[in-house]
Amino acid sequence: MLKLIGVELYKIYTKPRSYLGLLAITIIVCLIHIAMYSGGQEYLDFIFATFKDSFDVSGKILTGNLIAFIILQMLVVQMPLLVAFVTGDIISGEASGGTLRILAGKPYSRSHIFFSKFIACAIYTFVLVVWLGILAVVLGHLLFGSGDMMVLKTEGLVVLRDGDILWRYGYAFIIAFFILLLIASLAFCISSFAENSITPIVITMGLIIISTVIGTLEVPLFEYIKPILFTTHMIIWRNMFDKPVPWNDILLSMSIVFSYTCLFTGIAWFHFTRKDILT
Amino acid sequence: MSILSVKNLSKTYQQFKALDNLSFDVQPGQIYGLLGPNGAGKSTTMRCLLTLIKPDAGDISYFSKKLNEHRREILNKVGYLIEKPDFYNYLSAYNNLKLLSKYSTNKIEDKTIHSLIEKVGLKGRENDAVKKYSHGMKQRLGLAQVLLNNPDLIILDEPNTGLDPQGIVELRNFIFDLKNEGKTVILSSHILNEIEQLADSMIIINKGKSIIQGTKEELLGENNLHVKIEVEHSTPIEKIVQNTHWQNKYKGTNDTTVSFDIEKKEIPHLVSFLSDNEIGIVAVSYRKKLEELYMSLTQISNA
Repeated sequence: MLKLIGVELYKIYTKPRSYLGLLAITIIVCLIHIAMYSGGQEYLDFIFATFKDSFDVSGKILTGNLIAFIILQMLVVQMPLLVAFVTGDIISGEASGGTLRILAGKPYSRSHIFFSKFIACAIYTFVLVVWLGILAVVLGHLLFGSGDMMVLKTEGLVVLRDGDILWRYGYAFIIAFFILLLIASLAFCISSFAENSITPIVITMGLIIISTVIGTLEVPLFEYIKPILFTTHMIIWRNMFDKPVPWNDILLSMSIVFSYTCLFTGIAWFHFTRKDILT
Repeated sequence: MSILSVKNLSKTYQQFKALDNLSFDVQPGQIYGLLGPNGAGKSTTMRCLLTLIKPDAGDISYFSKKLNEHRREILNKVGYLIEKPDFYNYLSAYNNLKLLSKYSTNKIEDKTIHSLIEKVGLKGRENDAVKKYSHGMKQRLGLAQVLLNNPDLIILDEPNTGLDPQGIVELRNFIFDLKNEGKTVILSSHILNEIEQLADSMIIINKGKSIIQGTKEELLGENNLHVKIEVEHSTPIEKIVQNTHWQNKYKGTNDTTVSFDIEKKEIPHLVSFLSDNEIGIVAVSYRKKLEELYMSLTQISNA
């Protein structure tokens, strides 16, 4: 099994499209850094203008901690696309390329092939998240320095002390990884049914958009299904920056995220191990 | 003991019956030909043999072991090339073989990969990306891939599709070499002449059913020849053969060509019989060709 995981990682490593995700994250994050470096203070003055009557804000607001938070917020839409770009192709790309029929007749079982691909997808997703963390947090701190962090949330303003932030980012990135793993499993699931690379990416993004729209519409009918929509839980990482941290809400969301991941992976495994390979 | 035994294999896609109770046996060391028109079920059969397609019914056994019970052990001794040779185009030939060697449960040494590259004539190009390869080069790489795990049984589905005449000759020699090394080859092809030259035994299938199968000697040998006699003038032969022992062997007349299904040793007697009845004979052709057999059987099957 380890040998097959190594093979799948090698395929990802040698495939040019795998680097598009890393490149896109690098470009987007660097652009945000440059933008905030050049005009970030005015942007924050504008944001915090509404609080001037209630608070007296002094000191440095534009810190690496805040920049990292802004970057994470902005990448909510892009990161799933970048994950789906590779994970949506991992089975369907081999089906359309004709290499799946070479692999499926080899001595290893389809379950071995399936899980080696899935684990490789999980590792790729992890690498993307780590790279995002390095660029957002580490580069953010190098450029903007450290300091207390003010987080503007719908419930109000949360102020976090400098020494009380880094561990929250650690958990936030772990949560982000599991959320993106859910997206990876969705794209992977569709990939097991599709026989071209584009369909899984388009369907995955389509489902995310539809689910997000349903989640934002204030319609009584949708109120019942909102708690079980996977997109509802995609922003749960933000709760790590609440005071105190609502662990019960986070655990509930994570269990839903985990359930969806298992469901999508299970469907994909069931189909992949039984499907006729005709391409 | 057969190296491969297929019993009552059936597969239906929605309403279409791709395989219908297909059975055949392949003996060790043979080149076995699988023939049939497009949609006859050749590729479905080959894919079932490799577990790419799950049959609805039937049994497949290799080396007297059932495929569904000993899949891993069996497929480790099988090499295959199904339809066109597809590879990871962004990788070199060497890296493709290296990567695919990991799917074998045996350890495949680097020197094995290099010797296979040399064997198929890709030495010097092994580090080029496969996307730069011609179809013929990909086919060679496909054959190297087939031999990676030193298989006992090799399955080749339409291996000469898209090859130029030189490539076809090289492939033929390659398959003969495999046979000489003691390997068993199952081969499907549209080029009947190739199968006729290569195969020791064959099966012709149509609409998922076996129409005929046997050794080349049984199917194309000197017994039961289809003899064509070119006569000087169009003559009502059926009247002449009526009430003679030639009556049941007479197959019809097409203008000046008269057909009989007889044994080779009967040809002189038939010629004498026709001459005695004052029928001028221009030519006699009796060699039975696979193409003829194939066409007649598939036409009967389609009717």
